[in-house]
Amino acid sequence: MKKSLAAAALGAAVLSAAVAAAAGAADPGLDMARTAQFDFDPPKAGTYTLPVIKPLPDGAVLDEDGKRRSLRALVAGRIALISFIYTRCSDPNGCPLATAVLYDIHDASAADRALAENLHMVSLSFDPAHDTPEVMAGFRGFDTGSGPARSEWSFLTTASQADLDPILADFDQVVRRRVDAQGKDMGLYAHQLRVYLVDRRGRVRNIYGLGFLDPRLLVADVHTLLAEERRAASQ
Amino acid sequence: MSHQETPFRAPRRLGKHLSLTALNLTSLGLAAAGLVLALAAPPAATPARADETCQSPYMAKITGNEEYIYVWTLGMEGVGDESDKLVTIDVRPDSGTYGKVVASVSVGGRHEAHHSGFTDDRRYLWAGGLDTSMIYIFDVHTNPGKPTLHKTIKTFVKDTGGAVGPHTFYALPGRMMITGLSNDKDHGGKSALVEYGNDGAFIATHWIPDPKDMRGADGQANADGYNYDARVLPRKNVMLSSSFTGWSNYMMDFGKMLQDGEAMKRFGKTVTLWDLHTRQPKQVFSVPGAPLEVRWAWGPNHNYAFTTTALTSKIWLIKEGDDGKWTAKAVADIGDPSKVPLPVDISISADDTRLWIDTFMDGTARLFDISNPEAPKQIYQKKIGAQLNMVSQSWDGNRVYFSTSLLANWDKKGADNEQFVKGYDWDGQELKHRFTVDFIKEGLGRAHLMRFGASSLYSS
Amino acid sequence: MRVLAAALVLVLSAVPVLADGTVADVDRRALARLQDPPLGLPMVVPQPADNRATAARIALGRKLFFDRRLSHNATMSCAMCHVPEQGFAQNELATPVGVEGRTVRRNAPTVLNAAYQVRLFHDAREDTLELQILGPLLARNEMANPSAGHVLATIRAQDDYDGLFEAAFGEPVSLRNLGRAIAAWERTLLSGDSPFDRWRYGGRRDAVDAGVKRGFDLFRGKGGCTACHFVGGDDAMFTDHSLHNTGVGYRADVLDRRAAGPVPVQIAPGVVVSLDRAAVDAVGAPPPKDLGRMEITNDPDDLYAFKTPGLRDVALTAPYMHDGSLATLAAVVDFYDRGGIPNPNLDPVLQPLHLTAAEKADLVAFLRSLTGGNMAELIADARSGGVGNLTAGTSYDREPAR
Repeated sequence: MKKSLAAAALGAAVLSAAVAAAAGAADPGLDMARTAQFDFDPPKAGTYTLPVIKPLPDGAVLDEDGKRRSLRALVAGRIALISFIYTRCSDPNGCPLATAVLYDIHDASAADRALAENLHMVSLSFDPAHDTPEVMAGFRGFDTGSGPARSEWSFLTTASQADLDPILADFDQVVRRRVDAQGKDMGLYAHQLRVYLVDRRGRVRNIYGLGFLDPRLLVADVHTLLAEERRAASQ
Repeated sequence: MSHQETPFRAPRRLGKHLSLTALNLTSLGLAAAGLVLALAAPPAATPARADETCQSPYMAKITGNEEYIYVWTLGMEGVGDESDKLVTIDVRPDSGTYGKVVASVSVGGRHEAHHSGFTDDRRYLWAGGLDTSMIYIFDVHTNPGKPTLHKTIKTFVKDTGGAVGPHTFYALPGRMMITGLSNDKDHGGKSALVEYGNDGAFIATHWIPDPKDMRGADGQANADGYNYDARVLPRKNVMLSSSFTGWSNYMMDFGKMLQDGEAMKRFGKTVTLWDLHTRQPKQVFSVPGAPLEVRWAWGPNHNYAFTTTALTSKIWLIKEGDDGKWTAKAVADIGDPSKVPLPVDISISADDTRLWIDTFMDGTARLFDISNPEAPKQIYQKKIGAQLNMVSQSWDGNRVYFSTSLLANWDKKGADNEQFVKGYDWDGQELKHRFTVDFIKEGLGRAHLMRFGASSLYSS
Repeated sequence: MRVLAAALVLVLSAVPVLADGTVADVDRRALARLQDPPLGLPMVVPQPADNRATAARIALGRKLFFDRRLSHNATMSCAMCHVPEQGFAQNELATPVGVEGRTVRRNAPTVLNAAYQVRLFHDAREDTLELQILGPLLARNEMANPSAGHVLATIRAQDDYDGLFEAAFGEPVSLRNLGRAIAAWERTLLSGDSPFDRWRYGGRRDAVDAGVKRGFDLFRGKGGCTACHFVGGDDAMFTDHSLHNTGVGYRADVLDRRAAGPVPVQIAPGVVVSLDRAAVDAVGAPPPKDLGRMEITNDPDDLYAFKTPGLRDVALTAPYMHDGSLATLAAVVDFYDRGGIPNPNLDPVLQPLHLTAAEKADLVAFLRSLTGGNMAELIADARSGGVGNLTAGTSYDREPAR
């Protein structure tokens, strides 16, 4: 996808250039235009701080090959964006929204080497009964290994509800199975839409929900963490 | 490489094609206000309107009628166990206990119970003590008709590096934004915004800009460091904080304070505009006379908020101009300002056309037409009691609830110290009384902030 | 100079040391002040035989003074009403607000130079700093502790006091040691070396301007102020340590109660409204009685008599009088120019002075020259230990486990 014309708006262009400069890329990639939902110019990366919220919870997850992994080990060494989803979700303001935001960032990472090298995105299902590793692999909408380097994006699930529950509890991620009037499972979930930003040292540094999931803010936050690392390294 | 076929692949920038219009994102603006909760069950075909802090449309909402009112109640010497408590009033229309107290959880001791707010997932209600800085976290989801005390944070002052008096509890994703009204160095007005995680762990303190430390904000000539309420408008990436007074004043006998010339010099006169994402203060506006509650308009293109000044009795409009610059200006008087009617709580209607304003001294609820935000006009008033503080209305505006207590030592003395929660129906013309709970007769105390609850929130 | 080097060495050798082998600088300087008080203060700082200051006692006393946990609900420390940045008094209120907002009748006096006070409290009901602290700790409208034992139990329950009383006094916390520790620190709050001191006692002619000098002449002469606010040849504490009826107590207790007119109230900078007294009374409790010294002696002659305060740092300790009823030094000078407020027990020393406007200005200039030159050091000392609050919060903002 190419940059939209709207991105030529002055403020956005200035910021795009700044992000591009930080990334050392020619094409900023990310659409920096304002929208009706995010009607502002985002703050410049590195001009603010993100407080530590809590340690990244750990737990046993399954990767797309069905291999059992530690979530914490899986994202260790990179900055992570972790999104809880389930693939049957069809509400445009639910999981697809979070996934769309990650897609935007994934696209942007093709033109932003810092993102491509330092960011690891995770979509983790909270519906292990349906979302098997095979389903999660199929949910991935792109091939790996072709085209320019992009941020790694893992599509994970868990082996069981028993493995999942402590992860949800530690993340404080509310998920409730919806039942119909007869008490029958509807295959749907009521859940709190959340995406978590985790720094390279395994600390949650931001939590996004509906109304806050502006890809420009998420990318600015990732670059803010990178700037923080550079500052720490130079000291 | 292509992922165009992916059903979940949304066009770039979610807002452009995914329709969020009906999902009122400014509902966050009322997250901690407890103003607007009830709404008709949205038919599946029409987009749902999110109530309050229910940020996920999947999350169950209060549909139809709110079921419970949680009243954060100050303990009163000589009444019941004399302790602060969370009182639950049943407002289910068909219930045999409609308009009655169905539960009460005492926290032991008096802490100047004041405001409360739900976490973003709406499972817990955080309630603060302005005096002792205690924060009580109530579980309201396990049994919405009978909240229980889940956790107590006793270390607010230590955690925050000296902020005192947790006031507003404002839900943000995964965390609480809390306004502290004072400090542990002099009990004056130097104060801070504070963030805690939903798990009760301290995250950060953001001091309000004052002339000696503007923290990068403009408006040094206005700045005073004071704080009261905080409300956000994520669509514009802004937050507003208002300004009241420090511990010494809000704890003091009101009559004594009015006659203390030094004390009366120590009231807030500012509203501060913040960058919401970075938590950096940007601009300090001059809003003299203690601006208290802040309410953002709900409309998707309504880039403005109201506040009212307690001492100078005015409605102020804080608005983004066509040039992108924010300004604050007084747009209406409330009652006769020379008599200091003391406007306290306010409640904006979901369609941005009406604003309820309670005036404490005359115990009167006043309704303003704010269709033109530049020129609010009072269109109705009704005396509710000898004193009046909080007002909460249902999302559809059909039900309005009132409570009495302002602060333990500011409430009226003697027979005028009525303490109640009253429920009314509003038909667009008239407030029609539905029920009264007499908080003194019931042995409860001073009724303060009201929040709405419903079991439908936690079941499918 | 009055440096008593030998004594200083003796004292320092007796004090406990920090983990790194040194006495904290702030405590060392506090001890030095005791040994060599600033210019203008009496050379010898009175100390009881059983409470000679040590660094450990000073440090402990400072910690206690700023500890909000010492009140019943962990909101009030001594320092909440004796605020270092506000002249170790309270500028923002006429009279303090105690636990749960309870009304305190009398203006918070400064702790500065309390070491030289012969009697304490506005009614002079206490005579040593060691005992004085018990009053606020147990007063229901101040720190509101339910009992003395409760205070000690509170201190024992805090880990951060482990060993401190033992180190300072060789024995665990007790009422006696609590009072001794706080008094030991308070005695080090010695404020002097003011412009006036440098002129009057330091021989520096240019330390003050002509207005201050004229003001001092008026203070000693036409104003008659030294009748109660003594000035000595080698030092000055500006007090006779005695009690007088100036009429301020009479006004509050008799005249103000009769007032019926509207109450002027400032509701915003420059905006004053007249409120109906009924409206003010509706939200206020009746003001408490205050009979002054007579409450202690039951002697009718002591009705509305209050202690003469010292005047050092007076420019920092507004508002004035025992009830904080006068906002400025100019208002205080006006008050005495009128000869106080007539009442049956008015001290005869108060007479109309017929000061000119220029003379009043000179008197105020003089009073403003009494601010100690070492105030910044005293504030820094006071704030060196932080504020005591309830502990054991949770924050994840620390190094993660490796």
